[in-house]
Amino acid sequence: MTFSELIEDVHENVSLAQGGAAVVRGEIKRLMNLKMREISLETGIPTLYVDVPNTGTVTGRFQMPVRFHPEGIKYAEVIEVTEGATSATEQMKNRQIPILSVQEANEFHPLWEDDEDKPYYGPPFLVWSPAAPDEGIRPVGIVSAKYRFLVHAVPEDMVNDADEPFSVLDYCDPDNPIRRPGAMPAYHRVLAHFVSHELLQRIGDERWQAYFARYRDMKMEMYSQIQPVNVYLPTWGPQNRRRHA
Amino acid sequence: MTFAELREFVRREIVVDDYEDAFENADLDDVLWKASYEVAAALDIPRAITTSSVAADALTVTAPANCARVHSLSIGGDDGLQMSVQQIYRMRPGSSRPLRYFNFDPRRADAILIAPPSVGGTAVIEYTLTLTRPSPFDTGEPWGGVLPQFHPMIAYRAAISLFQMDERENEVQHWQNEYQLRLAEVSHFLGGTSTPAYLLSSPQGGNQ
Repeated sequence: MTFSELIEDVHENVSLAQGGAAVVRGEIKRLMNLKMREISLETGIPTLYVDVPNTGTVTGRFQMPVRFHPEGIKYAEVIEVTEGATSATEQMKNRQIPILSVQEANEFHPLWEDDEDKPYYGPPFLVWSPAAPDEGIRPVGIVSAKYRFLVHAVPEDMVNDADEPFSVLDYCDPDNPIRRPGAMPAYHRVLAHFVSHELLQRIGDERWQAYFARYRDMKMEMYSQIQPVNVYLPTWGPQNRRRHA
Repeated sequence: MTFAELREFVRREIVVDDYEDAFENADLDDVLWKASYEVAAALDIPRAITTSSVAADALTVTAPANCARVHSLSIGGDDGLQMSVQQIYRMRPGSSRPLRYFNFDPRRADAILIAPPSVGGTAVIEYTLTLTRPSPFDTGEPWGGVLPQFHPMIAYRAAISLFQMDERENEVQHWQNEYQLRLAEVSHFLGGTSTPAYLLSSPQGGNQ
């Protein structure tokens, strides 16, 4: 559902209540975006695969083309390698590649050096720290490759009428980001139910309880559909550990 | 109805000044203009809708010329609620966001204050126009020409003043009742829930 459809839904829900005319679109928009962020954090949506780069390969340090939560990189895979430090790098193709913080890298790969000019001949890995997001992701042991990430992205606030909830802005072209379709379209209305309940409660209309019940039921259904703990099942050690800066 | 038609109506059918020696045309015109202005103020008419462009991060919207009162304001489809200046300033800090509140005070008669800072777009403003005396007067119409079916009530209101000017107070009551009835009709027609009755008070406590 689009932003304007959800707003219209809320307006219809509150319009019959006494004082419903005082509800303005700006307040509906604000509440809807706030709730979208909350649900995104609670449920882990939108979760999506992102190929970096979109076409070709990337050399050296790079940034993800979507905004994601600090704990947001769930999985990384090398899908194409054009240049590696060793011939063994080729074998990493189509396999998972670990993402380590600097401290983890020091612990598991003591011979690596945080110097991008020096080649590393050990098993390749990616270095990324949520504490320094601006640093980007640094491949170690791979010179030029294409990666695929599974990320818990930050849903962009809905602004325009046609925007959908839980949709991600893809900055594959930094100047012209593309808004992807909203995740879980069957449950977009959960936002309208929540905002209706919130506003009716403020107005003092008893029907807020009906909308709260709908919101709660739909959210539970959403949870059961997503099962955030099952979205990513780590296969080995460091990924599942708490990262340190 | 034009003011010339209203003037003839008052002269021939209300004050019955067939020889045109009781009132000058100018006297009748002045009284009709004042009556039309008073009734317009009571009914908050005429109204108009206009659009204007609002820049991103703007804190005000330029009020239309001759604006007596702003009834509604929306920017880019986001409607605003009329709110006090205090509430406006409370909402203002931060980045641009969809419109929530606006404030236009005819006592200030300056720009329309808005909050929070605008994301920019096209503002749609519904407002009451302040009337200006038409020139030439004879061909001008009261209230900018709107609600012509209720224009005769201006003649009734003017006649009351004329009778008082001519010391014919005993003839006032009938036209006062007519005026109050038309005022009630137009108020219901416009969706008003009560009759604005502050212009005249009936000594008999009649139609109010």
